[in-house]
Amino acid sequence: MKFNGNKILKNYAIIDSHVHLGYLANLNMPSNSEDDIINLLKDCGVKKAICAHHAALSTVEFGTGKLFESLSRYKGFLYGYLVFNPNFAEKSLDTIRKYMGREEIVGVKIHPAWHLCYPDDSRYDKFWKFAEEENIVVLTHSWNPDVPNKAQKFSDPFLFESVVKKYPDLKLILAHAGGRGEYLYKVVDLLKKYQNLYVDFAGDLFEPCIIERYVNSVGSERLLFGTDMPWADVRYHVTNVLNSDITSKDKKNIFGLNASRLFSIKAI
Amino acid sequence: MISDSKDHKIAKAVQFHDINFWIGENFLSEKLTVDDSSLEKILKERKSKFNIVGTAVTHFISLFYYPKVGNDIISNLLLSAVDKGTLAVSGALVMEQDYFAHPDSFGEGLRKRYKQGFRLLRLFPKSHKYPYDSRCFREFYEVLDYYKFPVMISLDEIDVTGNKNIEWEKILEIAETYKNLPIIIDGGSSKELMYNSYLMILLRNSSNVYVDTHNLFAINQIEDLSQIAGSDRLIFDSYFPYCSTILPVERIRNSSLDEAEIKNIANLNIRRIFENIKIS
Repeated sequence: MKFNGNKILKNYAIIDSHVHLGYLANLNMPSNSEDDIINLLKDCGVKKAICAHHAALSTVEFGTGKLFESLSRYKGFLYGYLVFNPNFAEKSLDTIRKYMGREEIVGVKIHPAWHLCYPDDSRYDKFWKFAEEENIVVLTHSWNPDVPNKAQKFSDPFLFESVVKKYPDLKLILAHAGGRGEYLYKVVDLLKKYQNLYVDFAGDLFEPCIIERYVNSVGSERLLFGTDMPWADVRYHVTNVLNSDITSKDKKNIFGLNASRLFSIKAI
Repeated sequence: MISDSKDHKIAKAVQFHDINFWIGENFLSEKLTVDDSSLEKILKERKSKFNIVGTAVTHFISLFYYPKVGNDIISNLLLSAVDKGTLAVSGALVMEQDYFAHPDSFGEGLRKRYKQGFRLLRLFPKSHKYPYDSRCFREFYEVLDYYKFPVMISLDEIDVTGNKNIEWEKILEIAETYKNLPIIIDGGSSKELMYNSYLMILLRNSSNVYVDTHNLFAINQIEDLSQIAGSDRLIFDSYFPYCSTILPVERIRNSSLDEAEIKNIANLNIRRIFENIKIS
C-alpha cells in the first residue's frame, strides 16, 4: 500500500497514541493481524504508536504478557499502555507498579464501559491517587451514553469531572472526545475548565470541522492524534488532520508534538 | 488536497458518483442543514474539488416530515435549479405513503418519478413504520424487480430494536426472491459494518446485494470486501453532510486496489445499475 499523502506527511512526525493490537471474538476483520496493523501505520507515515492490547483489556495477566510480546516484536516503533481493570484492582495496580518504569510503557489505559465500572466508583480510588502521585498519563475510553450500547453509560465523559477535580494534577486523555453526537461538541467545555485534560478523535468520528472547532476553542496543544486501529483505518485519520482548516503548527502539534511532550517519547 | 505524487494524479482522475447526498433542513441539527438553493453550487464545488461527477440527492423533508413533499422538492430542483447535463444529478426517491394505500398504482408512480429524474428508491421502514420483508413488501418488490430499479436500505432502519439486532436474513431472502432487484445496503450511522461478518456472508450468498462505502471504517475493510465479494459489489457514497466528503473520497483513492477496481467502486457500479433500469 502506498499512501498518496506520503510526500506531504514527511513534514510531520506522527505519533498514533491510540492503537489496539490482538484479536477479539467479536472483531471479525480479515486484516487485523499485528503485522497488518503495524505495516499500514508505517505506510501512512506514523513514526511511533502507543498500544493498548485487546488481550490486556480482557485479562490482566495473560494480556500484559501479550502486550510485552508485541512491544518486543516492534521495539523502537511501538510503545504501550498497561491496563487498570477495577474489577481486579489490586492485581492491576501491582502490575502497573511492577512495569511502569519500563521505557516502552508510557501510560495506563482504562475502559469503564468495557469493565462495567463508573470512573467515580471506589474501585478506582487507589488507581487515581497512584496515577496522580506517579505522574502517569491515563487514557480513558469516553463516549456519549445516549447510544444503543448501554454499557457506554459507564464512560460518560462528564463522569470524569469529579475525578479531575479531586486529582487536579492527573493527566487524563478523554479518548474519542466523548464519542458521537452532541457529546463531541460538549466535551470541549471540559477542556476549557481543566487544563490537564486531553482528547483524541480516535474511532469513527468524522463529522465535519470537529478538529477546527476544538483548535479554535482550546488551541491545539491538548489534541492528540489517535486512530483506534484496527477499529478505524488510519487513512481516514491522516486525511482528516491533513485537510483540516488549521495552521501547519497546529497540525504538527496534533500529529505528534503534543504526544511527544506528554509521553516523553521522540517521534523520530 | 493531500499530494501531487504521480500515483495521486492517477487517483485524482477517478470520477466519483455519490448515491448518498442529503439536502434540506435537518430539524435535529442546524449544522447538518443544507439550504436547497445551494445545491447547484455545492455540486459544482464537489465536482471541482473531488471529481464527484454524479449525485443522487435525498431531501431531509422526505425522511423527517413527509416523503411526497421531499420528493416533490427534489423533483422541482431537478427541473429548475440544477444543470443536469454537467452535474449528472438524479433524485433518490423515498417510499411514499400513498403507495401503501394504492399498491396497484406503484408502477405508474415509479415511472412518473423516473421521468422526473429519480434513479433509486430509499426505504426507511423503521422511521416510517412499514414492513420491508419479501412477503409483506411483495407488491412493491415485484414492480422494482421487473424494472430493475435499485432499492437502498439503511442499516439504521433495519436495526428494529435499536440494539444492533439487524435482520440480515431478511435482506438475503429479498435478494434471493427478487434476483433482478439491486439492493444497496447503506451503512448510515450504524457501527455494525465495522466489525461483523454477516456482511461477508450476505455478499457471498447473493449476487444483487451491494454496500455503500462511507462507513467501511475498519482496517482494510474496503480491500477485504473487494477480495471476498468483488469490487463490483461496493458503491461509493459520501454521506454528506454527516461526514466530511474528503474522507470517503480519499479512502477510495488511497486504497490498495487496482485502478479498475477503484473505478468500479467510485462510479462504474452505480452507473451500470442506473443504465440497467428498464423504464423507458
